[in-house]
Amino acid sequence: MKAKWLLKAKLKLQKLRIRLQTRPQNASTSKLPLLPSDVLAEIFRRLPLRDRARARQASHGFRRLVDELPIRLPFLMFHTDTHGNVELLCDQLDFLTGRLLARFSGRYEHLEDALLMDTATAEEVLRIIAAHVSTIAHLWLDCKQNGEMAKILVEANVGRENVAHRISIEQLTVIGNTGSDDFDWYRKLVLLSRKDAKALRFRHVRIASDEQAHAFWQAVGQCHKLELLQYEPCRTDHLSREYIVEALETKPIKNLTITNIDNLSPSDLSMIGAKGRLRELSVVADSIKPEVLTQKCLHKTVASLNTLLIQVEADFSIDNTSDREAIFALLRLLPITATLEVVHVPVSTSHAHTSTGNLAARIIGFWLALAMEAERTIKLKIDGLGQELTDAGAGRVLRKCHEVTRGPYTPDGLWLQSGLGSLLVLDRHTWFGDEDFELC
Amino acid sequence: MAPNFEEAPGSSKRLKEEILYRFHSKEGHEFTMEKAAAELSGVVKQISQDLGIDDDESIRNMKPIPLINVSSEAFHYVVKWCEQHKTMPPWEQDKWWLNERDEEMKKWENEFLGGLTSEQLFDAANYMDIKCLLDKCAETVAGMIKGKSVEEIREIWELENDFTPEEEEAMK
Repeated sequence: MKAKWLLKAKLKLQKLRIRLQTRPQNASTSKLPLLPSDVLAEIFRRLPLRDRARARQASHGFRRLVDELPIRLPFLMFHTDTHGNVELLCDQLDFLTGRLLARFSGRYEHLEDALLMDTATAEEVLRIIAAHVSTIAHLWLDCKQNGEMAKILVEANVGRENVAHRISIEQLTVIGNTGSDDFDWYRKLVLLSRKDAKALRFRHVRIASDEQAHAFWQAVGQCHKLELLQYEPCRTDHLSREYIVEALETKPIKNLTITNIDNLSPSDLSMIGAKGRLRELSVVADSIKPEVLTQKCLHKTVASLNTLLIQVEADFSIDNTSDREAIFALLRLLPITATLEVVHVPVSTSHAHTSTGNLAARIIGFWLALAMEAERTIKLKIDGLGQELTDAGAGRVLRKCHEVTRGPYTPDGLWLQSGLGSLLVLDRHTWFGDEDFELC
Repeated sequence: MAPNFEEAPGSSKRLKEEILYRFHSKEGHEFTMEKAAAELSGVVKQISQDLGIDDDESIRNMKPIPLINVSSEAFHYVVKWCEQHKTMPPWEQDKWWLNERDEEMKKWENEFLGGLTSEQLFDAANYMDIKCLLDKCAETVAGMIKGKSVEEIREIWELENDFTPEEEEAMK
C-alpha cells in the first residue's frame, strides 16, 4: 500500500514539473515603466520561484526585492528509501540547492529528481527550509523519523512571536509513525497549519491513547478551511470515533476518506456530511456496509456524492441476493453522474470453479451487470488477483456476454460497457483517481 | 487613442440624484465617481474619514479631491474599473479580489487590462490604493514576465545590468 502512495506522490511531482516546463513562453517583450518597489514586490510575489530567480538576476534592486519576498514551495516530500536514506523530492530543487542550501556544508547527492541524504542531514535541511520558507503548499512526510521532522517544523515556528511569520502548510500528508509521541508532534503541526490547512492525510498511523486522540482531533477541529481529510490508521482505531465527528461536523468537508474506525455509524457520517458539501466519500469500516449506506439518514449525503468508495470483503458474496440488492439500492441512490468505486477482496481462490480466470470473470460480470441495471458507472479494483487473472476474466466476459462491448483503452485499465452501465476494471498497479487538490 | 473625457463614465455630466465624489486629475480635469465605486479606493475612504464626511449630503458638498499624481487618462480607466466593481464589498472588509470572480467579470477584467499599457493605471491604482485593481495589474504583469530570460526582463524594464561579473558568476 505504501508503494501506491509513493507512486502517487511521484506522479504528482511529475505533473507539477510538466506544468512548470510547458508553461507557454510569452513572446512579447513590451516595455513597462519602472514601478514603485511595493508594486514590483506584488508582481514578483505572483511569480513561481524559477521566474523569481531570473528576476533576481536582473539588477541589484530587483534582487533586494525578491530576497525580501516570502517563499512558497508547492511540494516538498521526505521519503525513506529501502537503504534507510532519505530522499527529498521537491518541484524546486534548483532553488533549494542554489539558494537555501547554497552555504550548507552537509553532504547530499543530487539525483535526477531528488536529493539523497542521510537522516541527520535531512533534519538539518528541514531546519534550513523551516527558517526560510513561509509556505509549503503540500508537505509530504513519509520517512522513518516523521515525528522528528514534524517536531523540527514546530520548534522552528513556535518561537516566532508574530503569528503571521509562522510557516503555513496548506496540505499535509503523513505516512506512518514509529514513536508513540509522534502523534503529539503531528497534532502540533496541524495546529501550526490550522489557518491554512485545506487537506490533511494521515495514513498507516496509530494513535496511542485516548488523550492523544482527543487532543489530535481537537487540533483538526481548529482547521476551519479543511476540505479534505484522509485518516487511514494501520490498525482498527477504537479511540477516535466520537472525536472525529466532533471535529468535522462544522467543517466544509468535500472529500472524506476514513478507514478502520471502530463503531462508526451511519448517523456519524450523516453528521459529518450535514453541511451538504461532501462530494467524495470513502469509508471502510466493519460497521459501514453497503446496506448501511442506504439508510434513510444518509440519503441526502449519498445523493449528493460524485464518487463513493466501498470495500467488499469476506462477508460479501456475489451469490448472495441480499448483498446484490444492497449494492443495487446504493447505486440507484447515487446521482446518475456519480461513480461507485469498489475494492473487491475475493473470499478465496481455492474454490473449484475459481481456480482459473473464472473468479475474476464472475466478479467482473457481477459488477458490470449491476452497472447496467442501475445505469451507473463503477470502477472496480480486484484486490489480490494477479493482472493475468484479471485480464483473463475480462476476456471471458467479453467472449461470453454478447451485449458487453469493450470501451476505449485508458492507462488506468479497461472499460467495459453494457447497456447504459460502464465498468472500469483497474489494472493491478493503478488506483482510483487522483484525489489531490490542485496546487498553486 | 486617447479617451474622450467628455463622454467618459467619470465625466462630470452625471445624473443629479446620484451620490458622486468629485476629483481633479493632474491636468485639472474634473471627474466624478459614484459613491460605491469611489469607496473602493482606500485613499477616498481615508480622506472622507479625515474630513469627517459620513453622509451623502456632505459628499455632495465636498470639494473635488485633488489627485495630483493621477493623469486624466489613467483616471478615466480607474473610473471604468471602479464602476464595474462597485457592487463588490468595500476593500477593507473582505479580500474578495483574491478569490474567484464569476467568468463574466474575469472576462471583462482581462479585456479591460488587455488593451492598456499598465504604466499610468498602475501608478493610479497604487496612488489611490485600489487593492482589487492593483492586484489585477500585478497579476497581468506577472503573466507577462513568466518564462522570460534575465535579459528579456531587463529589456522589459529597460534595466541596466549593475552586477559585476563576479556577482553574476556567484548567482549562476
